[in-house]
Amino acid sequence: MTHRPDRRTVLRRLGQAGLVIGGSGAAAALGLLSPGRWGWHASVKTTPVWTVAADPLRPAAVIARGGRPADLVRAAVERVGGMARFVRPGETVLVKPNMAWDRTPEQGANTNPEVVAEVVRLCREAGAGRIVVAEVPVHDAARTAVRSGIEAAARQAGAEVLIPPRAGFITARLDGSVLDNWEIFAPVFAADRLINVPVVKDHGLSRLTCGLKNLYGFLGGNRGRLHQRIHEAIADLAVAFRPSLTVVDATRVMVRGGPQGGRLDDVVPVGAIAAGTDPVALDAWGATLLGADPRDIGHIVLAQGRGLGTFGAPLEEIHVGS
Amino acid sequence: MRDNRPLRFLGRLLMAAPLVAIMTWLVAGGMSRSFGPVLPPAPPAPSSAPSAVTTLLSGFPRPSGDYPAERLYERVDGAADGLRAAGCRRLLFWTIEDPAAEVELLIFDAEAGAARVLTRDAGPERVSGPGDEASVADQSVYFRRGRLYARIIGDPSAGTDRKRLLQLAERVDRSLRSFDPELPIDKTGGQP
Repeated sequence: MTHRPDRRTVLRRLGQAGLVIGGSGAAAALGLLSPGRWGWHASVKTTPVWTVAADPLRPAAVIARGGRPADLVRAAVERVGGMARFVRPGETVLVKPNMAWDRTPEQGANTNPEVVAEVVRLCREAGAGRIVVAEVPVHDAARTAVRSGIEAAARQAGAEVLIPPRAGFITARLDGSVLDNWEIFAPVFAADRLINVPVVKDHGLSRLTCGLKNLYGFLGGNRGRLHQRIHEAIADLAVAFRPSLTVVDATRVMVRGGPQGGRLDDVVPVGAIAAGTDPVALDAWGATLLGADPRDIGHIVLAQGRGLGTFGAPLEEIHVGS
Repeated sequence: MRDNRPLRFLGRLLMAAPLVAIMTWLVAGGMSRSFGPVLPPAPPAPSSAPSAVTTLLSGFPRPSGDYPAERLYERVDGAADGLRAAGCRRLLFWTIEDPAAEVELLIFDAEAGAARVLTRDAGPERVSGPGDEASVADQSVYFRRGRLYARIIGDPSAGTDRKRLLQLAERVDRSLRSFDPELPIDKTGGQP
């Protein structure tokens, strides 16, 4: 025989069910049930912190000359503390070259693949658990990765290469004066360390592209929107994304026609690599390679004003061949 | 005794319906929202995507890309503002396999703008060559014909030589004489 609930019980249960349904609806409406609301996947992220503690016994930036690109990278990184200072065993390292252009290495529009490969090798030697070379190219991503020579070199050295659409984008809160919330390439948020590996070259709008501007390569969306206030946007990015280490490729320097370039006549063989933890000093040095005064380059001045580094003092030079 | 099973069933069904609806809503919502990284934004209609753009330049295949002024940055990034300021209203490019080279064609409002950008790119020195004025180097030929400005860059990895690059430039120049820079992107006819 089945028990037949009385009218009071039915009403109470209906009331309870209503509370559950209404409560769930209200919670959903308020976004309390949305993915990431409780931290397991935030839809708007803040940027990671990758910087390492300053070492008063080490120069903040050095220049290496007089050898093969890989030797210059190794010597410069060693002088600023060795890769073990920047990468700990098991960490995920994001290596950010300039790999934005459908250009070959000789054309100097992208970071020299030998430089990228040596950075990857140094990370491996330091015990990195995972090394990811990531970029959001301007030109066709797959073609650019191949033609730049970076994909093959990085893979051979032991890194993964992530370009869209192999990875997606996450909206991040950058809190900048120009950049507020913006779509950022997702691998950025999986990294324990960031090593910025820009190439020095001319830029039609910002005059120089080096380490600070190279961070543009994390941005999705309509980058053209940022061009009206390019220097502020670059400074915003530099505040949001502070690399553990910057390795500047000046083996070949595009002195005209940047950032796209293409003419070999616009590329000068400089044969230098700079490395360090002061992105402002490194960019200022890059500017001098173009014959520019760093004081005339808005984003360098802004970055210094925001406490990201200093320029003015000459950088220590090491000669690998001597 | 009255059989009230249908009534009880109906009552349970009525009570279950909102729960089913809520579960459906939550599951559907969860599936529609990405739990992983947000998918990349839809790429801004790449001009190299299939479209009606085909034989803009007689004797050449469909362009690899075609960018109106407001989307120049997708091709040249930071150089876009400078080009627009000089009156560039459209950029097309072709990736040529034989000889291995890239051809960019920039369309300006007026000759002065095209001439200014040519000088900015290649300096003031001119040589006899294609177009109204030209700058020729071992691996590049830049020339202007009226308000059209062509940049032809040999692929360094393929070793495209100056002679073949000049031949390509002459072909481009001949085609430019019959080129209609006003040809709308979506009304350019069919594949040859």
